[in-house]
Amino acid sequence: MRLRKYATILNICWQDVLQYRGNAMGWTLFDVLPSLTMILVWMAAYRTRDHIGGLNLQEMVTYYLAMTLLAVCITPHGEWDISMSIRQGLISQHLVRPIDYFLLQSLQQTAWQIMKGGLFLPGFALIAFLFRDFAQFPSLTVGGWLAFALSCGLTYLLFLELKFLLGISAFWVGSAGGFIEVWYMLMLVFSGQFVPLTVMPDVIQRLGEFLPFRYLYYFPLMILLGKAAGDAVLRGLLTQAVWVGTMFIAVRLTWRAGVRAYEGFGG
Amino acid sequence: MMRRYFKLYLAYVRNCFVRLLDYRGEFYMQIFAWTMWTGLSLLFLYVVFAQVGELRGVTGERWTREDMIILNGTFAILESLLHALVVPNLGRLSEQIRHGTLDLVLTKPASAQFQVSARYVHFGGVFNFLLGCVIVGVGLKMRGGGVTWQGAAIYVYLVLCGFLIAYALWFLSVTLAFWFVRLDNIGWLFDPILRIARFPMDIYPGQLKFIFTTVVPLGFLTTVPVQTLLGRAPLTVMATATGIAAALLYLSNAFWKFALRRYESASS
Amino acid sequence: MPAISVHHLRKIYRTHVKEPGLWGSVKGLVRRHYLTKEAVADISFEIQPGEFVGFLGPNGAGKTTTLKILSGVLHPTSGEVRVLGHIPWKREPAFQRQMSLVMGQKNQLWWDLPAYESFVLNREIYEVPPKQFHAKLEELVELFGVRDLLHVQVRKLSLGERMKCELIASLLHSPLVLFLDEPTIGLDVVSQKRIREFLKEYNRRTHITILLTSHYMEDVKELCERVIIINFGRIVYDGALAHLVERYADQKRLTITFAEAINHQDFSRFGKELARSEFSVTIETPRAAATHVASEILRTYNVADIAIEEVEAEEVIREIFASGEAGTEP
Repeated sequence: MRLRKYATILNICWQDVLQYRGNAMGWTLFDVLPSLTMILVWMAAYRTRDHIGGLNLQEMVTYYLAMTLLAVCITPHGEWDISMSIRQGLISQHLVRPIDYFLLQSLQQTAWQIMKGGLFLPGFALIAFLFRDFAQFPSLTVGGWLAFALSCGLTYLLFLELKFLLGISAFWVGSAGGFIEVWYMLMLVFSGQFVPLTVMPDVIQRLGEFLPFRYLYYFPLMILLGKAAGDAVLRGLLTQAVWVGTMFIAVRLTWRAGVRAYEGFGG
Repeated sequence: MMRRYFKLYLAYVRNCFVRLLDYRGEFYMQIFAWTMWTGLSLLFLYVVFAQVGELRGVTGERWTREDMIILNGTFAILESLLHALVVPNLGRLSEQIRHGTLDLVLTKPASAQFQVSARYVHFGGVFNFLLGCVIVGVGLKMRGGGVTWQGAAIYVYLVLCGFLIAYALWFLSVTLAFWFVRLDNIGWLFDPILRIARFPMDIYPGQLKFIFTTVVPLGFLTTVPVQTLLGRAPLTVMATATGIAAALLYLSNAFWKFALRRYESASS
Repeated sequence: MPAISVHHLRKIYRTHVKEPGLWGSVKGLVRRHYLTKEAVADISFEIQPGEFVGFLGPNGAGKTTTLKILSGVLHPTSGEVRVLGHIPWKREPAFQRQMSLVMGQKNQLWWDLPAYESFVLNREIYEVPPKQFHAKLEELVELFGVRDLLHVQVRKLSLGERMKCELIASLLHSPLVLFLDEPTIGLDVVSQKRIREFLKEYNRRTHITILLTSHYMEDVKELCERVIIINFGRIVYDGALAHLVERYADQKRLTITFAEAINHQDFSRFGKELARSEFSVTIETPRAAATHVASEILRTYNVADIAIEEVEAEEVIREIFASGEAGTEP
């Protein structure tokens, strides 16, 4: 019964999202272009050296190519929508309905992801074709692929939670624009989206150990490149799962506190 | 004529300044974020040049750490000008079309392109602009070997041309909003493309480089001014840059008028 | 010379229909299905300087389209239009300086600023000399009674106050023609009334030509001696509001109160029965027969009171709209 309710909601979200396919293509450009530029810059750097931060050119190119795929397909962007509904008071209509807002948001974002992914596939095929001489198809065992898939799934969950937290910060932070941008930069640096963490200065690598961001992109990509194996994969997946659990509790608590603050103001 | 638009622009600036006092928090946050972005690109240079001594382009052009710092500073200058003067306006155009407030602009006795391009000013750009200047200065100092006044003047002129080219390109892309009314991110579509100019054009392979120097002349935004400053480009680029800027400005106006004609006959 | 003259104005929109779903839009890339909509079919009228004309019609009748063509925002499909001797859609500055367009739902005032700042901006755009600007502002501020509001941010104003400031902003350059599109939309009854009073007074003082669209009957009834009713892109009526009723309402209403209970008496031979209670009945009869019917009833029954009423203008117009819907839609 409950399952059917959410299936229906997902279906409606899906139809709603289809209306915005043009927008989705625009956002995809935002997600993809920086990584592509990065590839070209690194290619210019590799003209004088073979290995940088323990990666050769092929691995580096593969890293960023896979990054575009993750950035488009498992990166939800719900934070703007959430913070806007809070600031404009639209959140009230969600508070009175017998449905979990986090779950609703997650379903909505999932519909977006499916569409964005579908639209991006031809583009990705083209990009991969253009870089075919510089990239390598990952040679992983079945277990390795499974670990990668599992890690991507956990990344998606972690992203849903982090972006939700970011969105509901609007309960306390007046204008979310700058706040989100600063958060976004932290994510960029510590998740490995900007550059692989191995080439980062030690300080940043050390600092990153204490943040959840490295488990968003860097960790699954290291599995993909075969740089993490055996115990390290297992330990990584476990840590990733712990982060997902911790953030889930944080989502629950923060949401409750936020709603209380909101009701207090009588918004 | 010029005087009149200058006065009108002063009135816009005055408006924006009065508004500023109301949104101080947002204002400082924005400055902070912009500064962070500039810092981030410097961090990237640090990371790369901790590993290699130079970037070598497709045709073998060499960019040292100091060259790249100057290029980054130039990009920061260009970006700050766009953030301060252009983006606050063009980011709104598609909304103005959708909500029909463009109609009111069209009934006023002043150039419509001017009205939609110059209405808003974000003063926060000043800080990133100064930061960019400092970065360029530091880069030059690290590099050693002085710069003549003449060289500096040409550099400033070329950056100005670069700004006009970027404005025209941005305006052209935003004018597409007349056809794609529902694309609410069309105002920022040019932003990721602009970032291509953060790096020297020579890193882009053959066809791309051709596109970036002719069709979408991103090369003239930062690479050409810096090459000139470093004495690597012939002075004739000044004429080319001027020509391209003039042609693109003309084109942006022609395309705008074309779009308006369509809007007049098609919208409701 | 009339201030506004319109001859055989026509405006057709062509829009493409999109089939639903992803597949539908893929098909749309190959072959588009076009739909033409005639927003204005054939409209002609003239307005003399100083007139205050109401433009009345249901949503989608073509009011706003006509207004946008007259103010130069839209280009018509065909027809001839002159406003103050200019062709509006050429958008000559000389023309634009002499007119103003105010839209009830679209504000030109800057949301985060005091209205005064927006006024100064318009001064620059319309190149109003400072002296004239101050005199005009003074006049308008006094007329609208908004002296205290000038330096308050627009977003803190009420809807009605905002509209007053919108009007001031659009009148500062002393236009000769003012186009008002739904100026009272969304306002409460009191604010609506005040806006109307100001417009009326301003029109009387300056002889500005005003063309106002509205779907509030009250606006037109109070302000405009002349009304143009438009439906499905055509003019249904053009003339004085007072004559409208005579021309279109061929019925009158008799309300009879009897001295005794009327039980189940049948009045159908006098006309259509509209309402009935224990002691009274309301009947609609043809205009020509009304007097005759009244005396007949007075003779036949024990009548305590009898009232003969005109049908309300509002009702007449509603009927015109409704009949148009049934009859002339393509």
